[in-house]
Amino acid sequence: MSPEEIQQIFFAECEESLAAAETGLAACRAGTQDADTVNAVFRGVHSIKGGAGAFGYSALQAYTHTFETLLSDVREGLVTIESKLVDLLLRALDTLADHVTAAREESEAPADAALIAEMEAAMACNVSAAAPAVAPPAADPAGVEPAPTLAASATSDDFGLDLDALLDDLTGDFDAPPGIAPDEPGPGWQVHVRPRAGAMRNGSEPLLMLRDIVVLGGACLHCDVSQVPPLETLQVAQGYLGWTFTLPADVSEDAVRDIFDFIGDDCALAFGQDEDMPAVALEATGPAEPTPASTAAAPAGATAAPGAVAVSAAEAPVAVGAVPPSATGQSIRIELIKLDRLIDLVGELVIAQAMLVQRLDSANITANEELGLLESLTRDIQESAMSIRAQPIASVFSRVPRILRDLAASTGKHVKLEVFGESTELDKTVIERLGEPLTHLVRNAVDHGIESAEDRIAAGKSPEGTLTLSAEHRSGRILISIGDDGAGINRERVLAKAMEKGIVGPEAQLTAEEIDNLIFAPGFSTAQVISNISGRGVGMDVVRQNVKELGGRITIESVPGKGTTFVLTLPLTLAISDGMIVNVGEQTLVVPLAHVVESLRPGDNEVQGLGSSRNMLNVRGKFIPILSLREALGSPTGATSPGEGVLIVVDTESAGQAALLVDDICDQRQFVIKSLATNFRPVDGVAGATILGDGKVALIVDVDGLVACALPAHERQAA
Amino acid sequence: MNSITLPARCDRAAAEAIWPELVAAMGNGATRIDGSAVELVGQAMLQLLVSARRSGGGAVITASPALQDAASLTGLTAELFEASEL
Repeated sequence: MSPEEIQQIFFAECEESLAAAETGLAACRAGTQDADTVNAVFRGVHSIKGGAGAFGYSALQAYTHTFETLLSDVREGLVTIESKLVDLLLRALDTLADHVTAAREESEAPADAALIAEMEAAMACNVSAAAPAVAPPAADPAGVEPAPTLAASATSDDFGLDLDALLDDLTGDFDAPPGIAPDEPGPGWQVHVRPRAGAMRNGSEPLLMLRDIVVLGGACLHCDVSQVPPLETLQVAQGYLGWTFTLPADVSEDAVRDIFDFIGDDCALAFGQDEDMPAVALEATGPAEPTPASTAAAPAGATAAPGAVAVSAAEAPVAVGAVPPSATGQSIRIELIKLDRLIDLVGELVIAQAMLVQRLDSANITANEELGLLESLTRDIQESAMSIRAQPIASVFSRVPRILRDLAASTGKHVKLEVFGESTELDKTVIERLGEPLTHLVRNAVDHGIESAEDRIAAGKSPEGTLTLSAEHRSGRILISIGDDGAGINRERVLAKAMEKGIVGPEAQLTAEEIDNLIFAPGFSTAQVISNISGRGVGMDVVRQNVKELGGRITIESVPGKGTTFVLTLPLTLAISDGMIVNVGEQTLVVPLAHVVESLRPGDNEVQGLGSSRNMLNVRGKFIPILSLREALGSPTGATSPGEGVLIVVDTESAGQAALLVDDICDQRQFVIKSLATNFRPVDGVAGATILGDGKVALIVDVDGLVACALPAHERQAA
Repeated sequence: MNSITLPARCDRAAAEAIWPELVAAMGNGATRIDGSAVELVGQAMLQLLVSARRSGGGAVITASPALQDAASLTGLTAELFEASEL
């Protein structure tokens, strides 16, 4: 694995750590301020610091050091959690995210001097004059966390196991982070060190850390061997020894903490003469697998430079062998490309299974048990494979608090966030591509939707606006809504603006819904002042385009004075979809079910020629254009008039409703989407292809594109 | 007297490999542990040696300079070695 790949893992873990810290701080703000929550935040920041040091991101490391020190004070109860502090921590987390981005993109680190000063001012040594810098704190980490229980979970929580081993390979040393100046001198003091099993894994070696203590001027006073069991019951991978070191007065506690920083909770520390040696905490490990001595390496000899160690790659299998056998809560990272390959293969399996059924069917072999079993297994495999790609939408929603904080700073509008259904799962690709439109909708809601505090008070509302995010599954699709309790869409102004820009004619009679939809028109913006947040008139257009590319739709519900809600309807996955299988001439086509409103055989008086030569269908008093798929395909055969075939009424984003004329509808089923652009080339009006049960390729109709390009602009329904 | 020779690298993996041999050897009486080739040593091996010294008939350890250095660093010199062996 190359250093670049390891770095990628580091940044992926940074994202997870940031998300965990964000969740923890959100819980703190909501009133959950227990040790577990604070620890989760601490661990997130601590993990980033560890990796930053190993990869040499000095700005990131220096910043996380300050952040972590403050969090450590919070964790130890030296600093009280109050809303002002939580706000500071949230701002610090935002800047940390910027730092991580800067490190990833190798761009300039964000300005953090003011924030660092603010964090330092909030630290225990500045807030409480009673807490001297060198004296041992009231409670050390081992005291705050119930040592025996936490020790077992420390490795999985604290820092990714795999990354640890990899970092060892890459860096080969465990030097204490530089630049930590000793605090004020005081009397000589003692530290008790009790490494646990985790401290001996992944290339870590407690003796190297002890050597670092000696380098600081420490000397071993006592080694506690009382816990070492007889040979027969000894578990080699456990830590039984404990040491007491004396350190010179001018060495700070932080300098010692920093030595053990990288292994976190895997080494219990207790500072001060009055403290007891931390207790032995045995971890639940599987039977130790003997490893040939020649394959391992953890040098700590007299010739080795203090604190410097070369760890060979052969150590990795040992680390793997040390993982507890329990499968609960474990996870592995997989390259997305491998997962995509699996999904592709499952798609092929679905097709092959359909082909088999069709072939047997044509040979009059039907309804046997084995076929049913195969079908149900195939469906199960497909669902399992899709579920691997599914992720909770929380990963997108979790970005929103940050956006709101940024917006509050720039617009002065404070907005309360309410989130529902954040555990709703959908495909990773959909999640990834949802971020941009969602961000824009949130910004739009705050910038345009929610009024200023004065206006809200004048309207009899609470000065603080509310943004509601929700996600839910509904009949095989995902509904995501972004609602604000602002002023609603000002329809007169939208219509006036649209007329001014020539988007609609001066005499156009539009319904409220049609006016609302005008905001999605390219180049439309009613913002009085163009801000850097929104108002350039490209956003909503792009939002709709993004949603459409995901195979979804966006609708608006707006009530004047009450607020506006944007509802995104998205498919669960981009790989498999439901469709109506139709025949046109000799071709079989698939019409995605998401677009289909209804299908019907029109009566004579329901079809009328209106204006041009085009036929219009009268659907309960509303005229919609009829589009012949035969003409669109250029097929020599097939239904030419509505009376000969079936009309499928479809809904489109850009062109309202239309009726597609086909010969007949033969089936409705799930189909596996194959990209035409990848395998052939993009074709207008065609969204992709699929393979049918009989092995034939069928084109999937791009309903939006087809209707938009087949109908002249003036015949389209207002979008 | 049974004899067990320690490898040059005495890390956790080496300790795990040596442990069953040591248990078997100690079961047969006093054991000599030859650590004269040891160049590198970690906590796992040190606590294994401590345990061996305190178990059964006890073990006599011959130490290389590196092993002596590690014992001195960790305050285990008296625990691991008899004065005459140093």
